[in-house]
Amino acid sequence: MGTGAIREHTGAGLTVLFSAGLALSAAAFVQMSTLAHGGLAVIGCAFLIAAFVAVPLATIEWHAGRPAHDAPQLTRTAAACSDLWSLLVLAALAAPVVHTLGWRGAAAAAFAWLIGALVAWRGKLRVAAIIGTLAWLTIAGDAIWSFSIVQPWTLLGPQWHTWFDWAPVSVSLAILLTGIGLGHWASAPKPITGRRRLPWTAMGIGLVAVLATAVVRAYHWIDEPAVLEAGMLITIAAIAAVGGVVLTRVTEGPHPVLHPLIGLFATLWFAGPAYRSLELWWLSLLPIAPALAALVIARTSPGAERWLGWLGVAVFGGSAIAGWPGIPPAPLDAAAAAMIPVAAVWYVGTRVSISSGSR
Amino acid sequence: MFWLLLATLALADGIALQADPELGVVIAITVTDAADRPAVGRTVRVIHRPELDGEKELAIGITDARGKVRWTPEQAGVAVIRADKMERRISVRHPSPPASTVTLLILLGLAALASSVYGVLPSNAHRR
Repeated sequence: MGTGAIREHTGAGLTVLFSAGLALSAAAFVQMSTLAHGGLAVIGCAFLIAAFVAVPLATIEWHAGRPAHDAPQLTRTAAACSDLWSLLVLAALAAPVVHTLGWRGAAAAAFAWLIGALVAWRGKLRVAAIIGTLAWLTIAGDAIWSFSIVQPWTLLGPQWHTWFDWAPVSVSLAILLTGIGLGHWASAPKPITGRRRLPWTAMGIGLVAVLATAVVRAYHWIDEPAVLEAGMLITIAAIAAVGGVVLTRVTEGPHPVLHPLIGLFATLWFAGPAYRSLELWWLSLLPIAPALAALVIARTSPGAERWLGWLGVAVFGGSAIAGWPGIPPAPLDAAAAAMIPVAAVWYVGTRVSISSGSR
Repeated sequence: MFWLLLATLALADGIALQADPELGVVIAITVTDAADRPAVGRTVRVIHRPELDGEKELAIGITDARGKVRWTPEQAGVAVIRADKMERRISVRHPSPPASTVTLLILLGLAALASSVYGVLPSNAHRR
């Protein structure tokens, strides 16, 4: 097997692992409060958005190979944005774990980012794959066991009339289910002839994980400590799987040390000063990267794909606005929240400027 | 966190239910004070969908000499029973699985499986 074939296989493995990690992230995202507000309606709506908007866009992003051909400036912006957003997804996933563990969590985060970067740099992802597999088996087993002995219906009942409260959650869930705008498909190996629908499989597997988690959480509604433990396990597995792939991708670039440092700083920022801004991140900032990816597709694609791109811009852009939770009342919290978009604009702007200069 | 949890559990001990509440089935609720004696003359209330849209608070009744009050749940779903400052989170079961929820769960499960399979099937262009 030649070097090129090995790289293709490694790339395909990374794509599958990232899909599994995002599926676990989506499962971790299904919180008790989400179910209480909308029940299965949230997941149903997320499926519709994923199936009719996010998966077709992800397929275009994947088939195109890279985001765009005719809009180089926008492409660099979209690429920088997707790299940063994938690091921030990882940081936001890790933040509650770090926050719960206090200074030990901060030390563990520093250690994990360091080891993760080294492991990714050496290209050995077996540990992440094993942790991810174990978590999958645990979730599936727990869901099956729960389903056989209890009635989870009370929390799963769909609450359609409260749609405005949970619609942004559905959009974020759809983003995690499909990985649109997070550099997942743009950096994946090119589609193999006859196997061009991998985004559908990624979404389907993610939906299975989300449904299983919803059933488990609905069962444990009164038994919160059990939910916390289960949620922690899923989150750690998601961090391992997503982290392995994101770190592999960013450490392959020209700044292998800088990106893990940004990730570590973002984790500590989310776990500390900006802990109350996690809702702002998940509901309002996360959809920006997919909206940008959809904008690239809308501006560079012909025919139906163009309209699909604009539909994506409307859905993700609209969700970023509708999901805005407002400025935190405490000045320090507000300042910590404001630092996130400011730092993001600085990072993307700097990277685009540097790449323009070096061109 | 641990002490907060213990405190919550201790508060919940003041309200005991005869059985898991089920829609339309009468059960007895017993309220006891800190010394584990029946709390007499306490107003017991139920809050359906607490802190959520559609929250509804209903009076169940006043405890008798044995600290008991009878209650027939009128709405299934998540709820909180409150007697003075004591609270207990409960889940009122449906007598049978609700058709709409079961249908939606099955449809979503089928959609998930169909998407997974559809993604790995060879495309038409390739078959030709």
